[in-house]
Amino acid sequence: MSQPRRLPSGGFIDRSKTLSFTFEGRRYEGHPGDSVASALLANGVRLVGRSFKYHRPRGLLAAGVEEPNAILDLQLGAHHDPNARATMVPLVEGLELTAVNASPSLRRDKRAIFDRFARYLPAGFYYKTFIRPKWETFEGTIRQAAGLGRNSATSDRRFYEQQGARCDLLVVGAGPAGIAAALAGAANGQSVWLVEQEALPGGQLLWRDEQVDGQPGHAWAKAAIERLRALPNVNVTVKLATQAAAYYDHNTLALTERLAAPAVGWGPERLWLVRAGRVVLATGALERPIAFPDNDRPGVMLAAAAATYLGRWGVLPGKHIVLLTNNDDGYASALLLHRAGAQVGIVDVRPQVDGALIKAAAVAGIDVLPGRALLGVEGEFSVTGVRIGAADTSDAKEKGQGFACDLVAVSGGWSPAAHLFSQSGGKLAWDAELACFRPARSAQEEVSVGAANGAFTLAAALVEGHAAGGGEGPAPVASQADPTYRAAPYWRLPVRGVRQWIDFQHDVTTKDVELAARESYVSVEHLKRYTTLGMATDQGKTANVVGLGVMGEETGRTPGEVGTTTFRPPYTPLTLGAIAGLNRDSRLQTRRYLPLHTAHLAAGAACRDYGLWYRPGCYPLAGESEAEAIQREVLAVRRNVGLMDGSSLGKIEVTGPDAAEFVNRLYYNELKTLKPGRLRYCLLLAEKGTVFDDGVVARMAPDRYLLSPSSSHTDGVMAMLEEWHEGEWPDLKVYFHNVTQAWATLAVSGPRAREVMAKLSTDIDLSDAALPHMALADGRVEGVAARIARVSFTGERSYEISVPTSHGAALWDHLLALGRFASITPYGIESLMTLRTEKGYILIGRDTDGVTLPQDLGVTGPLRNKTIDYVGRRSLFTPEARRDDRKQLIGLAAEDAASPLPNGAHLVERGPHNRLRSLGFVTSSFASPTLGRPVALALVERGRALVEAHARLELYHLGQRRFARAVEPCFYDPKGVRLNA
Amino acid sequence: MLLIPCPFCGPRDESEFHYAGEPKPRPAFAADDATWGAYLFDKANEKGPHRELWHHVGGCRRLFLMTRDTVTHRILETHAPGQHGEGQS
Amino acid sequence: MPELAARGFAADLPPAITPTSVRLRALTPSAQLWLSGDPTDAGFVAGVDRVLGALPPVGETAGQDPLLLWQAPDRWLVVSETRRGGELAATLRQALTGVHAAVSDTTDGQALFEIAGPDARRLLGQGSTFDLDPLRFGPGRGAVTLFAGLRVSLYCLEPDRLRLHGEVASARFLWDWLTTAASAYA
Repeated sequence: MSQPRRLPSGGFIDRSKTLSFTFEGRRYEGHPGDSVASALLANGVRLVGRSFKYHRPRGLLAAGVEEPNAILDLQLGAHHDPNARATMVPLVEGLELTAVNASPSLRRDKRAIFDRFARYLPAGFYYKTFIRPKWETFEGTIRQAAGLGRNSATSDRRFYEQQGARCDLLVVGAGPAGIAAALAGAANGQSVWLVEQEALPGGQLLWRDEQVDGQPGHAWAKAAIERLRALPNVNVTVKLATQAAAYYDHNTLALTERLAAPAVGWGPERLWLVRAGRVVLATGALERPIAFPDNDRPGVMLAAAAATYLGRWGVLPGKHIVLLTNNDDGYASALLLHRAGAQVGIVDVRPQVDGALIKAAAVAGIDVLPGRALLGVEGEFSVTGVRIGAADTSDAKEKGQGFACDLVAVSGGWSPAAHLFSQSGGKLAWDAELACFRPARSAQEEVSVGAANGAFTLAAALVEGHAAGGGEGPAPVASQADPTYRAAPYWRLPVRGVRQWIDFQHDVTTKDVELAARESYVSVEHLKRYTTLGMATDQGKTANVVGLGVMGEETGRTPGEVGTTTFRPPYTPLTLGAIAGLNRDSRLQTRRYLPLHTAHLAAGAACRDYGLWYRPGCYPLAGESEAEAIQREVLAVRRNVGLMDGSSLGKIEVTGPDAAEFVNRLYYNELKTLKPGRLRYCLLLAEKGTVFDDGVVARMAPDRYLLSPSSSHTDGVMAMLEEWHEGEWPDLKVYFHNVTQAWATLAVSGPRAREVMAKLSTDIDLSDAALPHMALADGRVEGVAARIARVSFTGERSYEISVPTSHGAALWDHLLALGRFASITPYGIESLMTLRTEKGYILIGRDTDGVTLPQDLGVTGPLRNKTIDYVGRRSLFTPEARRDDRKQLIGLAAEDAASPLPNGAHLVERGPHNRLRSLGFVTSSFASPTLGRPVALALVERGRALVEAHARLELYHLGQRRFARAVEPCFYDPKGVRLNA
Repeated sequence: MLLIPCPFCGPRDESEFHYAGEPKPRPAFAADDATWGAYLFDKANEKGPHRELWHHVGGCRRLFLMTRDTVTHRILETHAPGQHGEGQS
Repeated sequence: MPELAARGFAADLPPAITPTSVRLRALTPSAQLWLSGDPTDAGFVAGVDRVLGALPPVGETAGQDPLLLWQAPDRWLVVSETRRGGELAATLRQALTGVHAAVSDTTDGQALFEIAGPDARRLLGQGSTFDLDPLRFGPGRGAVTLFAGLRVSLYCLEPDRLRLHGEVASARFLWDWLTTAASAYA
């Protein structure tokens, strides 16, 4: 018979439609409205997986987010989820499910043998065992044996949508308390979000036999949601199948919405970040198990879960049920199961049980055994019976009395689902009467209501929810009074030295907690890390309080004294794709393209990322390697003329009557004396004196400067200007405009640059008298607004031409055509690196590090002559700055010219026992085609003295030894004649 | 996930801002080494209300002062430098 | 003298296949200027009004063409689709002679995108934490905020029509973001 455990009626499923799916290769059927878990259970499937460590057979323990066992590998067409949670995945046609952590098959798992060696595998065994010879020896095998599903071979290429929202009131949980809060909030005009992790509203009303305002609870919930959605003039958003996963600062919550029909190419989850004025947490409560030997066998299920499968999906999980309870609510589940046709017997661990409860059970025909507990379970893959004995026994040998049954339902009492509350910073307190941790003190604009607050009766939940939503008038009314709720702190059978399961997913048993207590891991944080209690993907939703209870018993403390660990986001696992959203691949971070990018590609550029900019490194010709291209381009600049796109260099305009005063206070170099139309190469220091940037500063007019920071520092320099102006010198009248990207800048550089420029049509006087080196002028070039600057990064005569960005490509083509007679050659950043190293021109961040001062680079003029209190000045006069063993910039001439010195190689001195000590390191090293030998720059202790002594230095790099002479950090044209050649 | 009330742009997500340090008077050049070192490197880092500079780099690019409770992350007030306002701006 | 040809950023963008519920366009205004000045300085306000026909707004947009977008308490982005950037900048500088103010031509420095249609705000919401609720960000409202991690000037022309200016070197990145996000509504 198909679906042998499905009842002919009841539940919120559509029996008129049938969906088929497979589990472990076998075909089954279910209905729309089913979860994967309810469909498996309806088909009588008990065994759904193997445990993490001992590979013990496992079945469904729960029916919702707290389920620790039923984690399955899911395949639906091309979509693969290696760790799908069976209780949370809606059943759809064609699902292919397999168990995880079992090989070759679920029933014949070869690693099931681990369970027989359990005594050798206690908590922390791998810390003690797998350390000799070393962990890596065992790692592969252990990782194979442990863990859940196998990762997909291909990555998930789907897009995931992220959205933000704001509201006055966010209600988490659409059970009775949450709905009451949302109704009240909407009624007084607040914008409300109501989110519910399940696909249906109602919470426990979906399976309990309760009435609200005279209607069956589930019908009341459904109608209330419809009413909320239809409210005119009120901004209400109701999201079902939406998990509140995290609660952050400033009342920001992360929600994941499961989408039934995402767009093509888009994933089935949407991530919301909702900022709420006020948050109502109506997250309900989670039922706890009770530990006893073999309590992890398939067929041992939480009592409320059994009742949920019955009420919500019309599945009766067992016909002969033994229900173990330590609280009054277990009786409610027993009655529901009994009414559906199951034979139920109650084992109540409490010696004294309220007479009314026993009477109500007796009226229904349910036997109650007070003062008893379960000593064990019969059956391996499915429960066949239990052994019942005294609840207070401590004798491991006691066998008890056997009873046959096909389901063990367990109610260990309720714990408020206070995870989000705790994430919000709220503090929990132990309530001895209710035997649970309850919210005690909120940290944000938040209130917990209903079962989430320990209000375990329907009437109280409705009242609290209504009040929290700001409700006026009467709250929705529960039609009958609930019985009071009492629970005994009975966590386990008080027999020591026997494995009784606490954390099902991580295989943590009472024995492990006892061991932790014996070995003094008694702090709750140590308990967690030593035993891994609560550290699995279910985050110990069913395990934590039981674990704390047992630790309390072992150490003579109440659970409140043991305390809880910190709850951290997320409450339930969420898809990495949803966390990433569109922020991945090419959309993770911008890549800034040069305005001439298309022209560079046409010229054969090999582009690379330099900071955020994507720029040509060089332009290899057909059949030419990049190294060869660089050599050719360097020689072209030295012998003829080169053309480079320097558009990414910063351009920040500083304007105002105090512009001169401002830039002079900011820069290391003197700038007040700079004449309009002139440029100066300057260093910019951080306040601690270190070199932050270098660049050229131009004075355009008495009240206007143009700063040109290096490409990757422009944003940082802009921020620095703003912070110094607003934070320190707000009285200076000055404005900053970043116009970097408004201009394309092309550099024409080389001994024949002047000849090429002479062909350009411009109204700017290019004669050396009018435009000498380090001067600039505005005008027009080929009919468009332009600026020409004489500034050189190569050491050759250079002209930088700037035109509005959109004209850059045309200017590039024009210059290539004009310069053809002189074999004008495009050159890239990599070629520039060689050119500037030949000249000893530094690159900040490469030839300097986080402690380099200007004097370490030999730039001491301002240090001696500039006396105003510019940024960083005081730091240049500290004892640290005056040390005589500072690392200083030098040049290195390799003794053997075979190959460049390795970048990053250490310069070393040999001490006693031939021990090496690093004196510094090579910062820039290249083969110089100009000189026919390698050139290098380095930062070395007492570098200046080494240069003066022309010292022979040893270099060490990855076992390789080289020797070099300390020389001046300029290898070519030290007098700078070529700048004007 | 702080929601920071920029005195000029209104409440914005913290991802739009850069922390710019504690506001401290800049010692004169004549300050001794210890004073200068403290200015550069010492942080008050109070527990509780803490005055700090923030830079709205993803918005108006203005610098402003903020008083934030380092225990609760509550923002007690923000105002432009120089305006030593009492209330919430 | 033959003028160098102009090639705008939009020429490098691949064509967008977007759903009907959201339409994307890359636009090249003929003028974009950074304008800084003191809005409490009568001379500044008068000069701006004289040239641009609008008073510098606080926290929102003003005018239509030229349009003034508030950027900071003392800074605006001036946008025109009819005036040339260089000419408008020169006129404005002239009008502000003797006033502490700054004008820079950034016509080619900023890309401009228009996002229109019933899903326009949802699309923008994918890349921004800014509060895009139409009740608080309706026509005439503007803000400088982050989209896809980049600083942009965002403003609302009509309830379902918004525009954003961002750095031109990131135009391809922004376009990639906008077109990919739009595919959610296909």
